Amino acid sequence: MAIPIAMSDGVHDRRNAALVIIRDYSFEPATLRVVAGAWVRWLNVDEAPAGVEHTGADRLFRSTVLFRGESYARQFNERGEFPYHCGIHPHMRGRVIVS
Amino acid sequence: MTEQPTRRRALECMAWAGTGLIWTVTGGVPRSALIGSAEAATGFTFAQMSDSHIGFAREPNMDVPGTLAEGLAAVKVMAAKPAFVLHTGDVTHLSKPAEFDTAEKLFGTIGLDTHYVPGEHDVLDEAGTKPFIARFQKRHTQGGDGGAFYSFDAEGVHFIGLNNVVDLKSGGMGNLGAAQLTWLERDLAGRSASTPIVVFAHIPLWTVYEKWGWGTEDGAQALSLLKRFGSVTVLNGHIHQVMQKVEGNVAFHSARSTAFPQPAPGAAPSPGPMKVEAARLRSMLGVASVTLVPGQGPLAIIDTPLGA
Repeated sequence: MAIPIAMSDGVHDRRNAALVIIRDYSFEPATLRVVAGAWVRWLNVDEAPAGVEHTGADRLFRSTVLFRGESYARQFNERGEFPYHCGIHPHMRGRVIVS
Repeated sequence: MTEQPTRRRALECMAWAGTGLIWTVTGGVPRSALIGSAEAATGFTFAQMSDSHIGFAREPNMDVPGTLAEGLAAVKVMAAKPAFVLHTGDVTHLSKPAEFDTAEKLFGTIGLDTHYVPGEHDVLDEAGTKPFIARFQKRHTQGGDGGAFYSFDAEGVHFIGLNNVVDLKSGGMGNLGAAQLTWLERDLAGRSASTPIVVFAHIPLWTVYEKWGWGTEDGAQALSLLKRFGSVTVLNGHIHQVMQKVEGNVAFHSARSTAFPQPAPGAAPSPGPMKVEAARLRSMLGVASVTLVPGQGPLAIIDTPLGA
C-alpha cells in the first residue's frame, strides 16, 4: 500500500514513489500523505481505463488515459492538499496531502 | 391558474428495440404509446441521444457501435420525423480519433443534423475541447474561446448547448464556470419570456445524487437565469437512465445511453457500467424524442408505465 517517501540526500526517486492503486472504481488509499519532494505513482489494476486529474481550475496535473497495468507518476514539491479525481469516472476521488 | 405558455409541449421518451415505448404528455395529460403507433405525437419533433461511448467494449455491451446503429435506425423510422438530433455527450469513451470517426460515420447515416455537447469522456485528450469542437461543433459560433457551448434557434424554440464537463468539481460534480454563465445571461437577454427554451448539457443541471457527482455545482445559477421563461426543458445524459422532474416552468429530463445502463442512485457502491443479462440490455438503453405542439395547455412531464 502507500508508503510515504522520506527525503534522504535530496534525491527523490520515482521508483520508490508512494503508490495509489486504482481498483474497483476507487483510489486506494483515497487519502495519501507524503512529504514535500515525494513522488506519487497511480497504478491502474482495474479492467476499466482510468485517469488522474487535479480537481481545480488550475489543473496542476493530469494523466493520460491509464489502461490496466499502466501507471502515472508525479512529484509533489509544494506543501498543501491536492484533491484529484478520475477524468473518466469523475465520482472517483482522492487527495494527496503534502507536508 | 398560472399564466399559460404560448406553446404546449408533449414529451415522449421511449425505450427502443423490442418492446419500445413512447411516453407522451400533452397539455398535462400523460399517456403512453408504442413506437410507430398512430398515437405518436405530431408537430415539431427532435430526438435526444446520449452516451454513445464509442470505444467501450466490455460487459455488458461488446458492440456499442451496433447498439448505437439500432438507436439511430429507431430515430429514422419514428412516425413523427425528428427535425434533428441533440446528443447530450459522451459520444466516445476515450476521446480517440478513431472513436470520433466511427461516431461521425454512424450519425451520418440518418441524414439528420446532430447538435452535440461534450461529455467528460469526449475531452480526455490533452487538447481538451478542441478536437471535439473541430469535429462536432465547427458550424456553431462558440459562446467562448474553447468553450464548447453555443445556441441556435429552430421553429421558434431557442436551443442552448452547455458544457459542464471541463472543470469538474469535488466528487465529479459538473461545472459551467463564470465565463459560460456570463455568456448565458447575454444569450438570454432581450428574448421574450414566451420563447420556449431547450437547454442540453451532459451532466444533469440539477442535483440527482451528489455523492456520485450527478449534478452541476453551479447549475442553480444557470437555472435562475431561465426562471422568467414560461417553458424551459432541460435535457441531460451522463447517468444513463431516465429521470424526470418538474420545478415551476422547468422540466428536467435525463436520457438513457445507447451503450450501457448505470445503477440507480445509491443502488450500488459506485456508478459505472451495470452488468445485465443480454436479454435485458436493450430494454435499458434508448433514445428520446421531444415534440412541441402549438397550444395553450400547462406543462407537465410524467412517466407512466405502458398499459397503465
